[in-house]
Amino acid sequence: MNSPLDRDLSCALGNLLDRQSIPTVNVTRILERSSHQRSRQPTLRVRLGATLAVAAMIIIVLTADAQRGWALGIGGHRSLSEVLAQAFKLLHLPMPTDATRFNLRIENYQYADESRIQAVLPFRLIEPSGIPARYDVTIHGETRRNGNIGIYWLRKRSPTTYKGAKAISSDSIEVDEFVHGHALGIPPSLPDKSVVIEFNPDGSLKRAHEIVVGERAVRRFTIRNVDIAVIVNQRRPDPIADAIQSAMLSKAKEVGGFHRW
Amino acid sequence: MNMIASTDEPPSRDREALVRSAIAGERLGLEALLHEIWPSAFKIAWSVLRNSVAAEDAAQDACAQVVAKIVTLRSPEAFTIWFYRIVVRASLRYRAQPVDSLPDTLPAALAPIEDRLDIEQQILRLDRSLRVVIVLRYYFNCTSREIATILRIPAPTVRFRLAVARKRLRHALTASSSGDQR
Repeated sequence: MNSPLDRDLSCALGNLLDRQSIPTVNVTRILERSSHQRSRQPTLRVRLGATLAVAAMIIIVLTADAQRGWALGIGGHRSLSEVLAQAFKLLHLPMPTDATRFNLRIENYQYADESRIQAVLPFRLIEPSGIPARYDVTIHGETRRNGNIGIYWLRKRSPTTYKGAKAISSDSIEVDEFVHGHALGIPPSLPDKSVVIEFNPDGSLKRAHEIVVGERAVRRFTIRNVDIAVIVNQRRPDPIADAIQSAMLSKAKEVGGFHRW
Repeated sequence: MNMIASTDEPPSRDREALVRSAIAGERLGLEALLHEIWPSAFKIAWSVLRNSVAAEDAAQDACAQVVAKIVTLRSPEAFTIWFYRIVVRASLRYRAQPVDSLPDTLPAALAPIEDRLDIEQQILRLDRSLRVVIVLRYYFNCTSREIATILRIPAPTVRFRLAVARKRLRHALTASSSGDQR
């Protein structure tokens, strides 16, 4: 503060601010404003309530494991692991028990809108041949009052083969392989075949459908009053998907819930 | 945190006593403290807003906050910095106001008049963020660390702003004086 400019600045500011005519302090008005400000502040009870609510949410999130957390997240009555266990049982495939092989960690999720949730859950499946293969389960869940509705794709991680599916209301799913599938990254011209298996809320099989879509064809189907649907996609040269699909189809035929489109 | 010996402020011990009595809930102490801090509040607010009406409102708002929150102040020694921060924040909440015109006449003792008007005009033309730093530094004698605490910005940022403001003022004053000579 020793340079001429510093001294000039001190001087100038002194002159400038000291020259301002300072209005008289209105203590009454200040006290009024103060009490008004205090009344606008949330009460201790409200603050405490908000803090407790936030703490409770954090505790719920932290204590729930990935599977339970996901089930809570979509408001479902069953966890994903239960649904998948049912699917594996149905498929006569060994249920992975090792946490590292049955990895349900949520890798990526996004909220399509307020009610719909998408997630990709990676896990490794030991095939009957003993060769481990990495699969992704893509979940499209929609919360509804009596449970959750979800479409689960069992998909080999590579090469990428997606099918498009979307829930169009709380009790129906529209699957449009090519139109919506293309938007999801599905090559539009691949011949494809799928099986849709619907589960009841108690985990029992409701019915199953096989869908065959020809090259460049566009076909839509709608499943109504579905609780859970598992869609296994198949690319023709994929023997693993073939095996899964055959198992599903044969089981579905046994149960008697098979419908062909 | 050290007390700041600002230009027009009484010894810190007097203020500290007032702060202590205000924290203790004594009405007279609180009123005396308001009388004591009002000029500083108005000056800081005016230096940010450059408008008397808005500055009075902002200063009142800041003082009301002081009244409402002083019981939460743990250390009376930290009052001044805390108070400056409240005033600055209350002032910065106001949008840009029409600037008060500077008086045409100055006390005769202040010479040379043109130079002083010039530098004052240049200070008032600085951006808000630079002006408030300059005022806290050169009028209220705050250190860079204290200004950083008041504005909740890092101390190097304060030093940077001070340097920028000084540079701009120097440049503007040099330009205007060379223009006069021509």
